[in-house]
Parts: sequence; structure tokens; C-alpha cells
Amino acid sequence: MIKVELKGVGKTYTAGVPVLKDISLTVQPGELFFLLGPSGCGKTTLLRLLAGFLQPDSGTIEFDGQDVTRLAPEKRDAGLVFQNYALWPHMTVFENVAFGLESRKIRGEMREKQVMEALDQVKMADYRERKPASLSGGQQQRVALARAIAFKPRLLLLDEPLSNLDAKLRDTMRSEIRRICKSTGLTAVYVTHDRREALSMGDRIAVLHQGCLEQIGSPEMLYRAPATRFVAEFMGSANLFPVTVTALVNGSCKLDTPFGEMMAGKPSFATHPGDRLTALVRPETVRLGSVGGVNCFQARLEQGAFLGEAGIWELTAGDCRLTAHELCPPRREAGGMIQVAIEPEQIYLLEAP
Amino acid sequence: MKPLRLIFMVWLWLFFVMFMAVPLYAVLSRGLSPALIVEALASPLYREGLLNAFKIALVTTGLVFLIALPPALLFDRFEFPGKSLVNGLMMIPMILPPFVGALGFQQIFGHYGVVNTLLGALSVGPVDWLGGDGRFYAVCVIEALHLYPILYLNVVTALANVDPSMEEAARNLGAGRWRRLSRVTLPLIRPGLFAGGSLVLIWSFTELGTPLMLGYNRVTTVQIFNGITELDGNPMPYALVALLLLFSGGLYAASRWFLKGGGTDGAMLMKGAGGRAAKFLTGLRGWLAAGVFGLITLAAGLPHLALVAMAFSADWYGTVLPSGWTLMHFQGALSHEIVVPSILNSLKYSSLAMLICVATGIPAALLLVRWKSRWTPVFDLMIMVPLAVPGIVIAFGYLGMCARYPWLNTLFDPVNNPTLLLAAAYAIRRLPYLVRAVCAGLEQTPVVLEEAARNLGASRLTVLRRITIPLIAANVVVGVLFVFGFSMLEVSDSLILAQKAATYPITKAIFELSQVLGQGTFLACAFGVWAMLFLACTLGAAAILLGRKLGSLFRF
Repeated sequence: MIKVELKGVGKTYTAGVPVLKDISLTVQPGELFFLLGPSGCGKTTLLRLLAGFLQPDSGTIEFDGQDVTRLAPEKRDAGLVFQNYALWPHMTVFENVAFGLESRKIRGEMREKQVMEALDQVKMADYRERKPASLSGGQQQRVALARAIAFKPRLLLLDEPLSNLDAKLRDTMRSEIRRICKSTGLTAVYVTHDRREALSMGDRIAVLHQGCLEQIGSPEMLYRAPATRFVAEFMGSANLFPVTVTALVNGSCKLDTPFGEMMAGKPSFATHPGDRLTALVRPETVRLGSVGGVNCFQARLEQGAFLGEAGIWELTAGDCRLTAHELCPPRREAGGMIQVAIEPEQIYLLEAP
Repeated sequence: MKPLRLIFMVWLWLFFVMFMAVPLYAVLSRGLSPALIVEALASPLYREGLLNAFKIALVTTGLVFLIALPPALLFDRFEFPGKSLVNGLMMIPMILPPFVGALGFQQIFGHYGVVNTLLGALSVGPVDWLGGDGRFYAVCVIEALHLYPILYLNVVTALANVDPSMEEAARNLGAGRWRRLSRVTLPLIRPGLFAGGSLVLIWSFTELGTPLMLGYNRVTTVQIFNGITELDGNPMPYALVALLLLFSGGLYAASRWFLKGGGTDGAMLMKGAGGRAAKFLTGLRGWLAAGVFGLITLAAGLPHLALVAMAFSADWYGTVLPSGWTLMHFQGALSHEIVVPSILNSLKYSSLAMLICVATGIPAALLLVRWKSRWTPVFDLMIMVPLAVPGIVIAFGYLGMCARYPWLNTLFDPVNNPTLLLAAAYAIRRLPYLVRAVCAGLEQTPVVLEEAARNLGASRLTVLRRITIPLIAANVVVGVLFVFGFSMLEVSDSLILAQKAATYPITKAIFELSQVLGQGTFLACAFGVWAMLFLACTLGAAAILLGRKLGSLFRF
């Protein structure tokens, strides 16, 4: 179990466009830490820097205080699960998993024991003599994971490990991977572009955007209290609209919004009347139908999409659009007017206009 | 069955029965007689010949691995100054016919040659390089320096196809440079190593020109060659040819089997997201890397450089460089009575070979790629068999078949006019390369283009003429140039099948000239230079047309 620290890490490929700009972050011992972002945000580069396949142009990487920035990949003790698994087709499952132990001169019974422990962890012990080509995608995934943990690395790195699996298998593997990380107590860094993976599995998440760190925090914090517009939109569907603070009353804000006057909770940062801010309202907190109370307004139902357990509605009020998610959606006709309500505590204010 | 397809199939069958099956049968039916084989193996002379052929093949293949692997790994791993240039230069030996190189080699290492003169200047006594085992190693070195590009191309391609994450995974698990190479990379490119290695092994096992030119006679191929003139009295060459064929056929079958059962395909097809960035070697290390390539090319080209120097030299005896320069030999070569006719002969044979190849290769490629049927695997085997059958076996088989069936002797008349047999021999051995080139073209051409034409009412023949062949024209041209170029400098078939001076092609003329005392060697060198220029032009044209894909022709 180690602490991983990145200090001011920057990386530019030959083209001159920086891939990573001044990234500083700390992964706590035993933490399952996520690097999340759209493709091209630099998350895989960051993971390859941790694995040692790339060297940063600036900044340092430390494992438990030891500077590993220039340390060769084979000396880092950081097991990596590759996106395409990278299982060697000419070796059996056992030989694949034993490779890291072989490199460390662990032989005989000890090696056998550790390989079988790892294979047991991923429930693949019965397949030890099989060649990777005869395994399904999910099984290969498990072997790749076993290979990365069998030699008891200091750090586990996972590069979009579930992206090649079908949706159902992904769901089971999510909880499996989290269980394995937690039971081994490994510090793990997990790269993904899938926010659901990050939200459901991670202890903490770092959101990357165009090579910059946007925000680090717990899944709940990133979802409910995003620091930037980008994070707000990347973590889930979001209604974002410009607001102006008109007054501050007893720990809440009075706002001028495109939907009329609204009340909201006071933000964590200091605000003054006249400040122009952005309001975030998650679609599932928008309530439709005959509801009363504060923050009520009329809107037109433009169109709806029926998803089975939920419905998505596109609404307009004035010239502003709003999306609402409804569980157990009742039948509604598009084109009519409807009463909409947003509770004050569901309006989150972002500092940027 | 569609008529056009049926015609093609029948034509292919006829061609292969006539020029492959019958000659092989003629050889095997006589050569595989147990009594004859026992007699051949009992004779110390022939036993030694076979043993030496094996030894040449093994030593040559070993040398080829030593020569080809390091630059292939360098090429795959690193960027360095002049990389693409030196990589291109590495291919030059393919076009330098080793048997003329042997002439230059003798000039360098002969008793009064360049090396001994240099040693003499250092007061070191002359070394008898070509005495004792020297001649054996000379054969191996010359062949290895000629054949290494085959392995090099195979390895470079195999390495490029290995997913970089395969090695990264090993690195991530703590494996150092050598363990990554021995446990991951080399096992993964084993099919490439094996494919290239077995081609080299077969090739060097059955090479006739180089040992013959170097005067290394105690080897099976040369023994067969020398036995041809007295074939009526001594049927032993039949047994030797049968043994050569069994060995190369077995090796070829083993490699096909091995490549099919390899099971490493998984690592070849999946591509990592990033791909490997080759590390840039700067300064001295970069130049050293380029130097490795340069050194190999230089070593491979040195005998031929010596050949060129000999062609221009007035006299070269006991000096480092020729003691005078002259253009006389070029004139002499062109005015020699067998030279100009031999060029015309070669042009005639090679053009005919080219025509045969096109007429056979295009239908074959269509049957393999477009008009698949249950016969496709049979045709595939048929087309690829010539890769496993050494030239000397085919040429000998033609003679054997004419000896066995008098009506064939009347038909082909090999002694007085071997045109058809030589052209067929040239064609059939290069057919696999042409078919491969055409198949590649067909595979890259979408079928819908042909379907569109049929949809508009064109017949199969019209589609072929108006759509398919124009679209694959570039590939056909490349294949044809290849056939033509290599036919012009073909050695084994030419030496065996051309029996009268009036029918000699270029290579046999060079060989005969080199045997003439006095100015003969110099004339042969001058003629060799002409021939190399010729081959370089045709292959240069092919390389320009085909671009970097030239290497794909030399793979299984």
C-alpha cells in the first residue's frame, strides 16, 4: 500500500501540443482512484507516466516519497491491466500470471501458491492450462487482472479495463474489480471515460479535460458540487442556465433566472447581489405536474422519450430549455403546458457565468 | 459450372501436370528406387556431397540469422539518421546474383588477391583462404550475404505486427531487455523467423551456381550438374535429385504446418491504442546503428564491387587495386561469340516465361480469391508447390521426362532448342510470387466494382477485361517485372537445360566465359556487370511501382 504523488507533471509530445499541463495530485494508500475524462484528455498518458512507459517533461512522480520519475518501467512494481489485456498468446494462463513472479526470481512452491491465489481471486483457477485465445473476453480480462496482482505490486494500474466487454459483463466486473482492490488493499489508479464506472467504483475521481485537472473529489461531490461547467456536464446530464443574484436572505439566495425569480441555497463561495453566476439543476430533480411551493413556473412540454423505467422530457419556458427526468412516468401529451417546480436545495450555483 | 472458370481450371491443371507433376514423377519413379538410393548413400563421394549440402544449408542459415536479426531489431526499435536509406540498401544483395559475386570473392580472397596483398604489406605471409575448408565457408558466406534480406524482411514485418503492449506488459511485470526479447518478442515472431529461415535453408541447400563458380565440387547439386552429361550410363543423379526434393518438400510442408498451428495470431492482429514510438538515437549511437546497416550492405556488396573493378581492370594480380584500368573487357564481352546470342536467348526465354506466368497466374489468382470453390485449396497448394521444389530439381525433371517419354523429347527437343522448357522452368518457379502479387491486388479491389458491371449486363469475360484487370494492372506489372528480372539471371535451370552454346542464356554464358583461361574471367566479370545493371533496372521499376510492399513477395 503506497501513496502516489504527482507534482507539477507536464508532458508534451513532439508535435508541440501539451498533453498534460502541470498536474499535481495525491493518491492515498489503499485508495481506488479514478482518472476520468473524454478521449484525448490525457488520462492514458498520465497512466503511462505512472507505469513508466513515458517520462514527463516537467514535474516529479513519487511512490511513498521515493522519486520514480526516471525509474524504468520494469523496476516500478506497478501492475498494469492493459486495455486490450495484452495476454501473451504463446503462454498458458498460468505462465502469463507467473511471468511477474519469474521476473522477480520467485520460484517453486512459492510461485505456484501466489499464481493460484491470484487466479482464485479472479475465479479463473480452473483455466490455468488454457491458452488466452481459447478464453472469452471477460475471462481474458480476469486473467489480465490476475497477472497484474499476482506479483503483489505496490500499485495497480487499470487502463479502461472494461471497455472491450459487453454491457452486462461490465456490470459484474465493476463490483469484482472493486472487491479485489479492496480485499488486497492495493492502491489503484483506474483510467476510464465512463462516468458510471467512476461514480460506482471510485473512492475519489480526478476529472481531466484537455490536459488539465478540472476537479478531484468523491463521486458524490463531483456529481452534486462540480467545480466547473465541464465537470457538471461530464458527470451527468445537466440543466445549466445563467442567473443573477438579486438578494441574500437568511442563508439563501434570491435569483433572477430565465424561468422567473427563484430561491436557492447559499453557495460555498462569497456572493453579492448583482453577481452573475451559473445555476446547475440535475434533470432528475425537476418535478413535473401539479406541485406547489417555491420555484414554480409554467413550461411547455416539447417532446418526450420513453425509456421504460424513466421518461425524459424536453421543456421550454420563455426562450430557455429545460430537461426533466421522471421515474415511473405518467402519460403526458407533448404540446401542452405543465407546472414545473425545482426545490431550492437542488439548485447548485457555479461561480463562472 | 461457369464456362470461363472451367476453362481456367482445366488450363491450370494441364500446365501443372505437364510442367510439374510429370517431371517430378519422371525423377521420382527412377530416383526413388531403393536400390539406387542405397547405392547413392553407400558411395562415399555422394554421401559426402549430401553431408556438405546439409552443412552448407545449416551454416548459411545460421549466418543469415546472425546477419539479419540485429538490424531487424534495430529497425523496429529505433529511429536514427538515414534509417529509410540504409534499410533500402539492405535489400541490394537480393539483386546481386551470388554466382557472379563468387568471381569477385575469389579476387578478394584468392592466393594473389586483395587480402593477401594487404597482409603481405604487413609482412604476414599469404593465407590460403580458399584452401582446405576455406572454399566451404566461402560458399556459405556468399550465400548468406545473398539470402539474409529474406529473413530480414520477414522479421521486420513480424516485429511490426506484434502489438507493442505485448512487450510493455512484460516490462510492466519486471522483465529486463533480454528477458523481454527471449520470452515474449522472439516467441511471438517465431512464425516469421521460421518462414524466413526455412526459405533460406531450402534455398542454400539446393544452390548450384555459387559452389559451381567457386569450384566447390563435393556437394550434391554440383555432382548432379556434372552427372548430367553421362546420365545414360550413370543414373545416380536421379537418386540425388529425389533426395533433394524429399528434403526440401518435407521442410516446406513442416513450415506450412507450423505456421498454421502457430496460434500466435492473437498478438498480431490486435493493435494497441498508442502504438510504439520508436526511440530516437542521436549522436554517436545513431550513427552506430546506421553503421550496422552500412557494414552489412558493404560486406554483401564487396564481392560485386570487386567484380565491377575486375571488369574495368587491365590487370589485377598481387595488388590491392587493379594495376590499370580499361574498357576493353566490356567491348570484349560484347564481341565474344557466345555473348550477344546469349542476351538474345535470355530475352527470348524470359519474355516467354513472362507470358506463361501471366497466362497462368491471373487465372490462378482469380480462382484463389474471386471464384472460390472446393478446389481452391488444391490450387493454392499447386501454386505454392514450386516454392518447395528447387530449380535444379525442376530442370533435371524436364530432362528426365524427355528421356523417359520419347514423344515428349520430340515435342520439346531439349538438346537443340530448350526454349519452351527453359521458359516453363523460369515461369513455374516464379509463379508463386506473381500469383501473390495479383492476389494482393484482387483482395484490395472491392468485389462490388465487378458486381456493378455485371448488374449492368456485362459478361464475366467482359468484367474481367474491362474492370478487374485494369484495376489490378499495377500488381500484374510488378509481378511480371519480377518474373522477367529474375528469369534473366536464373542460374540452376539455365545451367542444366541449355546444353548447346547456341542456346545458352546469359548466366550459362557467364559461367562458360569464366572457365576460359586467360582473359575469360575478366570478360565474364564485364558481362556480369552488364547483367546486374539489367536486373537492377527491372527491379528498380518494380520497387517504384510496388513501393514498400516489395518485401511481401518474399514471405510464405
